[in-house]
Amino acid sequence: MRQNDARGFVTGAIAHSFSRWAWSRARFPLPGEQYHADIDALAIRRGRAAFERIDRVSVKFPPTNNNRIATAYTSMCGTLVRVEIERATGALRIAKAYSVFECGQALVPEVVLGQSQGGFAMGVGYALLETLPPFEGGPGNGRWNLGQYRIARGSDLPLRDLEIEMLPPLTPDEAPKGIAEVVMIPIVPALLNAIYDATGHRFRSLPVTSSLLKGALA
Amino acid sequence: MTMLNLTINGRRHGPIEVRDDLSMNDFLREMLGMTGTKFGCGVAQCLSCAIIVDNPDGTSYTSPTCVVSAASFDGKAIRTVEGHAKDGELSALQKAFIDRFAFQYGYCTPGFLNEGQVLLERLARAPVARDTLETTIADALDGHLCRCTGYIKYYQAVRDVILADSKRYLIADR
Repeated sequence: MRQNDARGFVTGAIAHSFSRWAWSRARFPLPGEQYHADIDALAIRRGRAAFERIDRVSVKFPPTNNNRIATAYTSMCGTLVRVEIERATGALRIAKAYSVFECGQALVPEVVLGQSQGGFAMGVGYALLETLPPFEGGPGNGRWNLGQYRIARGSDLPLRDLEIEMLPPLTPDEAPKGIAEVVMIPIVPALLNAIYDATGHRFRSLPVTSSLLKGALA
Repeated sequence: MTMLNLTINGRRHGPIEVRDDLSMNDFLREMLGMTGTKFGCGVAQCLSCAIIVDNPDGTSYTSPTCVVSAASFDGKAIRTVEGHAKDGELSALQKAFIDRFAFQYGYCTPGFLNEGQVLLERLARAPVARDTLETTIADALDGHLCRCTGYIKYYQAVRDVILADSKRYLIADR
């Protein structure tokens, strides 16, 4: 790094981009190359000098029409989870969980809640139970059925200890946002972090089954 | 071929000639047009195809229909999702499913409804203690798979019906 500083090499970059179902795109003249990227602003730093903005040559933003695509207005979601792992067997129990999200004006709150509870369950399945290899050797070949992998059952879930909080819209006139399966996402890293916290072992592939946990605790 | 006679939702059907390898699911859905019973995995894992079988002694159980032959139901009495409402009025459990928004896209719902109904009838005959209610519900429903509800509302709906008439279903409240 010190050598780079001395030679005036690039030592840092800050970029800005914008997404509306597609990303903004621009070209930046850099010494020796025309740099194309899915960003609309770029600043770089050489050596220990201050960051310097690179003037973009051309820029394209996705059409405003893309605003019709509800996913452009994403709902944010976070999850807290507490797990208990039995040392002898590696059996994991989700003792308590809390997911919170904001989806603008919920059109049918009961359906949003059901979708959220279902997303949580599906995320638990992906994180802990479902062995789904990619490509031809996995369910992608179209020939898998429920006998080949194990999806979450009621007994795998904290049915009475899952709290889901739907925050009120950020502003009273905020439009509904799509939630899709957003609640499915943060439960996965939350579980892996909880497992790390409990065992000291950082798992980097899914699912983290009880036999893997047993191995990590042995 | 088998000449099949059976009672469905209190109504006698038959004699109907069926192939010996015809599944009960195809019999209900394709021959009788009773599509309330769903076809899910086809390998008896999800139980969205489950129906109620009524024993002569008044007890009942659920059975998958996807891997079971229609012929094996000869002489039996069964109930399907179409038979829960009486004279156009939904059953208590059906109403609870609606009150709780129990379903999302609903494909597994008939199976959960049948399983929940069998549980209610079993508890009416043999009530359980209140402190075992949660495990009783969990044990009864755990065989049924659902990908979109997360199960919570199904359990709540069944619990609601039991607690609303706890003298009938729970020991301590008798």
